[in-house]
Order: sequence, then structure tokens, then C-alpha cells
Amino acid sequence: MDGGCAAPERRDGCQAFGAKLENTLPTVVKSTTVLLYNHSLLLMSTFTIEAVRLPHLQDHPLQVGLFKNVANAQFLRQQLLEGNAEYEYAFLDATVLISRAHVFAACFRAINDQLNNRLKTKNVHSEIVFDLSPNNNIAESFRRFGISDTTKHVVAIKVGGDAAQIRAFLEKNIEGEPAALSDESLRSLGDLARIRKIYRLEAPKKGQAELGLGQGAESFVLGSLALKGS
Amino acid sequence: MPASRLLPTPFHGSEEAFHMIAQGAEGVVYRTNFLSSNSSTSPSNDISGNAALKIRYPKPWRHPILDRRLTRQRILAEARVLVKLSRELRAPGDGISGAVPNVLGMSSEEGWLATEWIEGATVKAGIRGWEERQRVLREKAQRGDDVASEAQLEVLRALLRRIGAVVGRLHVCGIVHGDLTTSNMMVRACKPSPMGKAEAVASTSDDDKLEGEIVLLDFGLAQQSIADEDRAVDLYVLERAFGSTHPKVMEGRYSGQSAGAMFDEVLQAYAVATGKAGKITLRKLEDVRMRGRKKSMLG
Repeated sequence: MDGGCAAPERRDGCQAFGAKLENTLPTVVKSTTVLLYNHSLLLMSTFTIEAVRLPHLQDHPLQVGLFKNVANAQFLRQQLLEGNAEYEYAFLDATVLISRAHVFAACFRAINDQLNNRLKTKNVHSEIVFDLSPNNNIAESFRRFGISDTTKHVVAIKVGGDAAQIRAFLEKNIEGEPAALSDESLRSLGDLARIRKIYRLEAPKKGQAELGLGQGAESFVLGSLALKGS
Repeated sequence: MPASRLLPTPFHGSEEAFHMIAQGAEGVVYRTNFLSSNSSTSPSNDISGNAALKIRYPKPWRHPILDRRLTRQRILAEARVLVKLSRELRAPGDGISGAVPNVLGMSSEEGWLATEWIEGATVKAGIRGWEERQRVLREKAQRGDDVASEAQLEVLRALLRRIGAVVGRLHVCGIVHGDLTTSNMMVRACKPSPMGKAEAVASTSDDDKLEGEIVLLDFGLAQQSIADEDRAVDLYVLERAFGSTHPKVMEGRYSGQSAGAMFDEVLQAYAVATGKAGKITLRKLEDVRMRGRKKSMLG
């Protein structure tokens, strides 16, 4: 291997992201993996695909990863359109996600609806995408929250399955820079104008400083998602 | 406590702990984790969980179809009110965290509603604690009457004013609570930190416990209404509940004032928060006091 490259820097969550973030994570198993990407360049990088166990859904562990600057979004979308079963993942556009709680609220609802046999879409993964939307239009929810040809930053989620296999699959098939899915990373990627438009949140008045979404936004969004469809 | 076998999916068989907090005629409230396992533990009783889970169990004596429909409607009504308030109740620009718990999840079919866990004590416990401190102070000073110091009274008055203000803002939002009691209000023990995460604030004195933000709980009987009658009844229910829960405060024994003078702090702050409409409501409150909560069906 490339001798000039330093040994992978181990990202023990506490050191890399600070104890505060660590506290906010659900039961998390982190894996440090070496990744190859960017065809010409041989790079060693570390990244974390998390195994997340949502409270009360211990039988449905999630594998969750964030990929920045994804180059093959078009290809991934094509696989979804063709119904390629190997690619049965929830691929989300990271720029419209507010926080981990936002993502996990959709996951919880999707899995709960699956357990109660009332999925509105084909499978639990498409349901996660659908459940992020504040309304009942499935096509629109895929357009807004799913992967499109121009999506740059992708959150990939798999419900159940073999953790090692999923990890290997994502590393191999998503051409992007893996990063930890944290509230901070989502905040830095977030397209606030778009999020406000989708969820009809109040925008800052002209002349006022952009202060981010604020505390109220997440609570209102989670509430809207919980209420949806009833 | 292990999960009871009666819990609906997906809580049935869950490995998480459920701590029963309250049980009423309609539902049971548990403290548990929801969406994340990050939660603080109450120092007093070692109970942890970041969410309050309210479950309306099926009532076997009702016809199943009717039962499902009622449960569904009631969970939904409560969730709708909470979500509406999560956006509208915050006073413009003051950046406070919500004066109601945030909704984290809901399933009206299975009859559960998960909301954020509020750290702190109920207003009832807060006022009882205040009264207890006055008793201790009085015994130390070996005085016979109940009159508290002006500084102590101001702590209590400030609390009452914040209650009046939050009820006023609630009514301005077009919601009446339906069951305003001092047990259905909490004084939040946390202040929002710049990071947006709640951090426990170490209270240096017991009076600090009365200085947090007021959070209204249990919107199970809440209605969307802008009728003066409903608003006045809301205040009347609070007044009566306050009188029976904290009679000495109500009678003015600590301030040496006439009965009801302390509660006037609530009503004055209410009037400030509601403006013109509030004046009409307060006039209506006089009528309601004369006849009681139920409007006569005659005449």
C-alpha cells in the first residue's frame, strides 16, 4: 500500500467529536474501516458506519452512513428505479435533514408501520423516505428527500441485514467521502431555505441575521411528521 | 419495571425500561427512552428516560369499533394541539424552548403518544416546597402567624405571574387547556444551552426551583376554542384547583392580604398577555364564578 500514507487515525468518538456528541448517540457500535475511492487516487481514510439501535426496536438495528460529495448519485438512483433488490436502501438527500432525531423519527415510524402492516410504499426503506415528508404525496417525497441525479450528500440507511455485508456494500458502491452522521455534520450541510420551504418554517426577516433553524424548528418538524396521514 | 404484556406494538417486548409516572382514567404515562438512548437520570429516584409515553389502553367494556375510534380521536386531538403549540406558543423573538412538551412520535391506531421528557418539578410540588420552607422559617423565628417575608412573597408572585402569562398566551393561540391544575404545570429545571441541548442547571437555592420556565402538560382535554366562555371556564378551573391544592396561598395567609389577592397576580399577568380579549374573558370569569363551571341549560 501507499507507504507515505499514515496509519488510519482512529476516531474514538469521544476524542474526535467530543463527549457531548457521544452522549446524544443511541446505542452505537462504531467500526473504523479503510476505504478506497476516487478511482485514480489511492487514499486511506477512516469512516464510521454506525449500527444504531433505536429504543424499543432492538430487533431492527439500523446501519447508517453519511457520504459527502457523492459522484454516482445518478447510478444509485437508477438502481432504485430499476428495483434492483441489492440496492434496497433508504438513500436520503442529506441537505434537507435537520438532525439525527429527524432521521430517526422517520425510521421509527417506518419500522412501526411495517410491524403493523400499514406501509404506504413498497418497502420499509422507501417508507423512511416517504415518512420524512410533511405530506402524503409519495412521488414528491421521493423527489424532495430521496436521491436525485444531482444529489451531492447522501445518507444511506439499511434496516436489518448483516452489518459487515452492508458496510462492505456501501463502501464499494457509493463513490463519496464517508463521514459520521451527527447533528453537527447535518447542520453544516443543511440547505436551510429548502428545509424551510418544505416544512413551511418561518424564515428570518429581511435584514435579520441568519441564525439557523432554531430550537422550535426541529420540534415542529418532528410533530408534523408524527401527525402526518391522520 | 419490565414492559407489561399489555403494551401495544412496538413497545410490547421492548428491552427498554418503562417507569409508570401517572395513571388516570383514560391513560397511563410512562417514562422511557424514545428515538435515542441519551437521557438523564433523576437524582432522587434513579429513574431515567428522555420521553413521556402516554398510552390509552383499549377499554374492553366498549364496543371495539367505538373504542378504536374514540382512542384514535383523542390521541390525535392531543397531538394536534401540542404540535400547533410547539410552533405558536413561543413568544415572538424570546427564543425560549417550548412551553409545552415536543411531540416525538404518535400512533393513533395503537393509541400512544410520545413527548419530550420535561426535567423539573410540578408547580404543585414547587409551591408545596415553598410553603414548607416558610413553615421552617417561621418555626426558627418562633412567630405565630404565617406571614412570609416580602422577598419570599415576591418569588411566589413571580411564579404566579408566569403562570398567568403562559395561560394567556395559550388562549391567544386559540387553545383552551380544559384541565388547568398546578399538577399539570411544571417548572422546567433546564435552561436551553447555546448548543440547543438542555443542560441541567444546578440550583443553588430552593427558590431557584420556582424560577424556571413554566411548561403546560396533559392536553388530553384541550380544545381549539376562542370562546370567552371556554377561556373563562379554563381560568375558573385553575382558580378552584389552586384554592383546593394550596388553600393557604389562596386565602392570603402568607401575605396578610384578603382571600384571592395572590391569585390576582395570575389574572393580572393573564390580562397583560391577552390584551383586549382578556378583559372580556375576565369579566366573563365573574359570571362563571357566580354559577360554576357548567353553563345552565335553562334560559
